[in-house]
Amino acid sequence: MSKSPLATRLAVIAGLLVLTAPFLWTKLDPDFNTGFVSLSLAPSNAIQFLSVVLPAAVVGWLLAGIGFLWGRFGPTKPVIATGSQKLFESPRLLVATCAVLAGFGFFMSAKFLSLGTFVCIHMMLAIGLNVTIGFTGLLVLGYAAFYATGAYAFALVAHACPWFPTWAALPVGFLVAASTGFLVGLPCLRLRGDYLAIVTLGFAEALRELLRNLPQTGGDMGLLVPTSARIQSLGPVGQAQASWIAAVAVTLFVGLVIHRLYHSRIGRAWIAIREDETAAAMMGIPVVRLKLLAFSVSAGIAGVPGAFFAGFAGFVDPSTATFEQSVLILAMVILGGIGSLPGSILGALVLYLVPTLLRDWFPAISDYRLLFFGAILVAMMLFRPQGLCGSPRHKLELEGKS
Amino acid sequence: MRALLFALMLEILVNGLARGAIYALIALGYTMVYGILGMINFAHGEIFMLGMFGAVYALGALGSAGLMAVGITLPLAIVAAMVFSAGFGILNERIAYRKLRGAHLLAPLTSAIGMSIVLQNFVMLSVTKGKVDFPRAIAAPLADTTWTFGSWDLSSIQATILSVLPDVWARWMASKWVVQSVHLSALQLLIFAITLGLMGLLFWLIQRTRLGIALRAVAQDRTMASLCGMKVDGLITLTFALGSALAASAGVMVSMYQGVLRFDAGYMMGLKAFTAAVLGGIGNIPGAVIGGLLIGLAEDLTSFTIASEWKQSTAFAILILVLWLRPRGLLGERVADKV
Amino acid sequence: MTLVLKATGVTKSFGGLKAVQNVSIEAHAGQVLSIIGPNGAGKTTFFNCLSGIYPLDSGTVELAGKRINGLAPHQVSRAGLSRSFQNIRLFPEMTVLQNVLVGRFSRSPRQILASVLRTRSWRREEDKALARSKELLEFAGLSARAQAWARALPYGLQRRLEVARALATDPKILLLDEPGAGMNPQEIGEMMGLVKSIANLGIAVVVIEHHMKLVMEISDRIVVLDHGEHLAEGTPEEVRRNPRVVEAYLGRSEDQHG
Repeated sequence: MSKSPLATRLAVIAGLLVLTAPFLWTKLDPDFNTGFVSLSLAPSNAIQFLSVVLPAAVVGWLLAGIGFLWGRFGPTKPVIATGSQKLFESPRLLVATCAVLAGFGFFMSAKFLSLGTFVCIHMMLAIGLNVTIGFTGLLVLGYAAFYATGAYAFALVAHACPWFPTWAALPVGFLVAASTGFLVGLPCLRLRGDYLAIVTLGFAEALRELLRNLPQTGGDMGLLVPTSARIQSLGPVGQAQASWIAAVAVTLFVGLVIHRLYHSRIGRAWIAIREDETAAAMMGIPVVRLKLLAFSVSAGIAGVPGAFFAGFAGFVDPSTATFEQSVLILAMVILGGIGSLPGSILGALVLYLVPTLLRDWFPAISDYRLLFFGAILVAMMLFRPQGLCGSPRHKLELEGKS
Repeated sequence: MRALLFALMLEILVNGLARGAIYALIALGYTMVYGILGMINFAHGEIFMLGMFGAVYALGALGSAGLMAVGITLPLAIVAAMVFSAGFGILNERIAYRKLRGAHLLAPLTSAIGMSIVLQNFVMLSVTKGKVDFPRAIAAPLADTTWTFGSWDLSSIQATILSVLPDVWARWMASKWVVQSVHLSALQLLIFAITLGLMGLLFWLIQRTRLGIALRAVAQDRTMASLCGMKVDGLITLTFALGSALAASAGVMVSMYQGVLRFDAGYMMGLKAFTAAVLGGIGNIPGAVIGGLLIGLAEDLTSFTIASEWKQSTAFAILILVLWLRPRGLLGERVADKV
Repeated sequence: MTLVLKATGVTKSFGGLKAVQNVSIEAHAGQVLSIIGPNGAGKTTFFNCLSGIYPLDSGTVELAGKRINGLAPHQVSRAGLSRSFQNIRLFPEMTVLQNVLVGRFSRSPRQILASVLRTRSWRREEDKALARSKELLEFAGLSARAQAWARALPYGLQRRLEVARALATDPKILLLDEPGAGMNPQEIGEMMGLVKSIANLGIAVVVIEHHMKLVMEISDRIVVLDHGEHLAEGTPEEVRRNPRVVEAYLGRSEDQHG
C-alpha cells in the first residue's frame, strides 16, 4: 500500500521476466554418459513461444479496448441480455428461432453442421456449469466428469439393450449424471464452497482411472455406440442435418428450462445462497438441500450433451473426462459472465469456434489453447469479473436509477 | 510368520513414510495459506512442479560453470529451487489473490486455477511436453546406496497360506507377498532428514519468533492485526513464499526419487497434498504433517494389498471419507461463522 | 398478552469464554422487548442462539409452545422466527424487490416442475409472492426503490430493507440486531416508527440497541445483560432506576450514548 500501483506493477513484471527467463532463454543439455546436465543459451525457444503469445496478447489487448469503448459509447442497454430475456420469455419467438436455425441446416455443408453441433454441445455444458458456479456461487473443477458420465451411461445402456430408442438417451444421460452429482455433492456441500472444487477435481481423476481400468468400459479405447442407437438420417434429412436440428432444439430447450428455473423461487434462493449463506438460511432457505439441488441439476445437464455426444459421434472414450475439457467449459462460463445465461451461450460460441477455426491456419494453436484459457480465467477475474455479458440484473439497476 | 509380517510392515512403513514426508511438506503450504487467508491455494501443485524444474536448471547452470561435486551442487540446487519457487509463489499471490481479497470467494479461486493452468502450460510449451531426466550423476549416489535388513524365506509360509486359503485368494496373495527383506536407501534417509529439518525450522519460526507471532495474529484477525501495526500484506506474501519454498524442497526430492520430472507432475501431487491437509485439519500445521504421513502410508498399503493401478484413487477415497465423517480433519477445530 | 417466545436458561460458551450464561426471556405478541448491555455482553451471541446459528450448550427455546432449539436456522425461520443482522447482510447483487421475494421462500409452495412448465397455479403463487413483497416494501417505505440494486441503497434504507425482508417470512417474532446503528437522528426516528408499527401488527419484537433514547421510547420491557448474564429486567422506568444497571452499564457508557 505504501508503494504506488505503477511501481508494484513494474515489480511484478520484472519478477515475471526474471523467473521465466531460465525456461525461455536457456536449454538443458543432459550428458547421458556422465549423467550430468549443463545449460546453454537458446533464444530460439523464447522466440517460438513469444511469437505466438505476444500477438495473442496484443489481440486480447485490442479486444479489451474495443470492449471498453463499447461500454463507453455503445448502447446503454445490454443488448445481448435483453435479447435473451425476450427470447426465453416468449415461446413463439423461441420456436421461430429454432425453426430458422434448423432451416440453416439444409444450406450448410456437413462439416459446418458438425462444427455447429459441437458448439451446441458446449453451449449446453456452459449453461449447466453456470447453474453451480454462476447461480449458487460454487466452483466446480471437474465438470467434464459428468459429461463423460452421461456419455458412458448412454453407451452402456445402448449396448445392454439394442432396442433402446435414441431420443431416450437424453433423459438417461440426465438422470445418471444427476444422481452421480448428487452422490459426489452429498459429502462436501455441507462445507465451504472451495471443497466442492477439489472434490470434483478428484472425482474427475478417479472416474477417468475407473473408465480406463474397468473391462466394461473398454479401457483407453472407449466404447462404440451401436449403429442403431446413433442419430440417423430421416427421409430427406441427412444424418448431419438431423444431428444439427436435434442439437439446436435440445440446446434451446435446456436454455429455456434454466431460464425458467432462474426466474423462480428456486433460482432466487440459489442466488441468495451465493450472496450470503447465513442470511439465506435465516430467510428459511434450506441451504444444503438447495446447493445439492443446484449441483445435481448442473451435473444432470452435463449428462444431456454427454449422451447427445455419444449418439452423435458414435463412440465414447475417457478423454471426455479430461481436465482440459473441464477447463474449457469453465473458461466459457467465466468469459461469458458468471450467472448469465446468454453469457454462457456467447462464451461457448467464442471459445469453441475461435480455436477450432484458427487451427486450420495455425496448427500450433491447439498446444497453446489451454494456456490462453488459463490466462482468460485470471484476466477476467482481475479486470472484468462480471464477464462479457455481465449479468441480466444490470438492466434492472439501470431502470431502478432512472 | 511374525518376522515376515514385521518385515512387511517395516517395508511399507519406510516407503510410506518417505512418500508421506513429501506430501506433508507440500500440505504445509496449503494449510499455511488457508490458515492466513481462508482460501485454498490452487496453484500450489504447480509451485511444487516449478521447484522440480528450478533445481534441474540450477544444476545445469552449476554444471556449465564446472561444478560437479554432489556434496556442493545438491544443497545449492535445493536452495536455488526454494528461492525460485518462492518467487513464483509471491507472483501468484500478487497476481491471483491480492486484488481479489475482498471479492466473493469464487473470484480468487478462479484466478488461482487460471494461474495454475497458465504455469503448467507455460512449462509444457517452453521446456518440453515430454519428461526431463533428473541428472543421474546427482541422484544415483544417493538412490543406489541402499541397506538391506533381514532376509526371510517365504516359501514355507506361502505353502501354508496356499493350503489354508481358497484358491483365488491364495493366488492373489502369493503374487503380492514377495518381499523378503527391508530396503532403506540413502535418498530416503535424506528425505527424512530434510523434511524433519525444514519442519523443525518452520515450527521454530512460528512458535518462537516475533515473526511467527505476527503470522498467527494475522491468521486470527486480519483487521485487528493491521490495527496493531502489522504489515498484513507483507506477512501474507511471506506465507506464500514459505509454503512455496517447502513445496520446492519436496519437488527436488520427488524428482530425485523418481529420476524424471514432467510439467504435469504438480497436478496429482497437489490433489494428494491437499487431501493430506484436509485430513489433518486444514489450517492446522501439525495436522498437515500427520495427514501427509497417513496419506503416504495409505497409498503404499493400497498398492501393496490391492493394486497399484488404484493408487491414484486412494487419496480421493480418503478425501471423501474425511469430508463425510470428520470434515474438520483429525486436528482441526470447528470454526463458527462470524455473524 | 400471548406468549410467543420463551427462552429458558440459554447458555453458550466458546472454549473457556462463557458468552451467554443462563439467560431467560419471554417475548409477547405485539410488544417490544429490548436487550441492552455493554459491548461484549453477549447480546448478539444470544440472538445467534435463538435463531439456530449457534447450537446451545444448555437451555431451551420455545416458540409458540414448540421447542425450536436444536433446529437449523432455516427451520427456525420456518417456525416463525426472523431476524436482522448487526452488520447488514443483504443480498447485494439482487434488487430490493428480489431481496424481499427471497424472504417469501418458505411461505410459497414447492413447485420445481411447475416453475419450469409455468403452470397456472405457479403463476398464481408467483403473483401472490410479488404482491405481498410489494406490500412489505410499501410498509417499509421502500416502494420507490423496488428495482434498485440492494448494494446501491443508502445505509439507512439498507437497514429498512433488512427489516422488510425479515418480515417477508411472516414471522411471529422478529429479532432486530441494532436497527439504529450508524443512523442519524431523523433516520432513528423513522426506524422507531417502523418498529412500533411492526409490533402493532401483533408481532413480538426483540431489539438489541445501544441508543438509549430509542430503547426507552419503544420498549415495553427491557432485559439487561452483562458479561453474558441476566442482570436486570423490567419496564423502562424500572430499569432506569435500577442501581445495578446504572453501575454496570449506564454509568460507564454515559459519555457515549447519553
